[in-house]
Amino acid sequence: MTDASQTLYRQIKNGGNPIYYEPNRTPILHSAAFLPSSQDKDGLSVIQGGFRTKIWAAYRPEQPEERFRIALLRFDFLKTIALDAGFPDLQLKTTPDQLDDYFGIPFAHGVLPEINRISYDNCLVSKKQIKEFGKKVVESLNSQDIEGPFLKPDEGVHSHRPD
Amino acid sequence: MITSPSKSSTWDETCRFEDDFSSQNGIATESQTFENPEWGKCIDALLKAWNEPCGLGETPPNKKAIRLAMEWAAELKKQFPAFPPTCIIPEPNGGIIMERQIRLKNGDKRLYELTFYNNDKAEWTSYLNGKVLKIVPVSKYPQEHNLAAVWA
Repeated sequence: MTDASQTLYRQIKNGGNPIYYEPNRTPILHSAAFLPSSQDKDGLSVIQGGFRTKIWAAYRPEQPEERFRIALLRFDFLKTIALDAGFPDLQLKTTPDQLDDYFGIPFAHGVLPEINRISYDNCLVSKKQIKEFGKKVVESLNSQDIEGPFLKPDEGVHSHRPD
Repeated sequence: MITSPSKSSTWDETCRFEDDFSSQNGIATESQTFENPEWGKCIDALLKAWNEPCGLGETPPNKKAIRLAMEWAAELKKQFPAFPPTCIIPEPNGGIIMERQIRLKNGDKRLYELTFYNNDKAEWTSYLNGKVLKIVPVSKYPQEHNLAAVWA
């Protein structure tokens, strides 16, 4: 059973940063940070905050030198936004990533299956819904909801599980 | 038909080319003759992306997408010198998104996005207060479109 009140983390990639940004533009992020990429064929990747600390949530072993920021998102709020965008029951599906394979259960990585790249590319209605979802997510964020970039985590120093 | 927000506030299911979107080149008005210096920064940013595409995400924009964005930017700059993009950002699956936000007098927020994909396709999306009004494919040639409807 998914805990709808939990906080999810979404990695904000370096490449997600704009190459040009009008200084007074709001919101602080562009919705491209919440559009699925080719890596998100099964859904938009998120980390469950109950099972992984922020510093580890911002780290990818396959890109160890990349420093990510994370957006903090309440799952129940995302469900509300998704409903407004046309997804009546946004799901969260646990899909282990490399760190889950290493640290074991409970797995922290998951996807939002409705927000997937295959639908985005092949169905105009889905593309419209996913674009609206992304816009509404970024409109809901303020600067306190974006954290990082973080240092590279050290297993001997930084716990991977929240207290 | 590309219409004003007050006349069109719902998703257009047809999402097809329509008469007003076809070639009727927008004409810069007197109020648009001032060239906003931000345009120069936009063009520089695209040139930088052209020269250093790696580092712009896992699937960086390719030369086709950047070239297309530059051609559109050049034409938009010519016709709307006062209206530079508010944001240019890599598309997560490869490409370039060029955005213009407009705050309307009634407080509504209008937003246009031109997306140039790595597969040589491009599309225009219009939003009103976060709701998508239209998603329309665009051609390689900005001159074929009514740019006043796309950007102004």
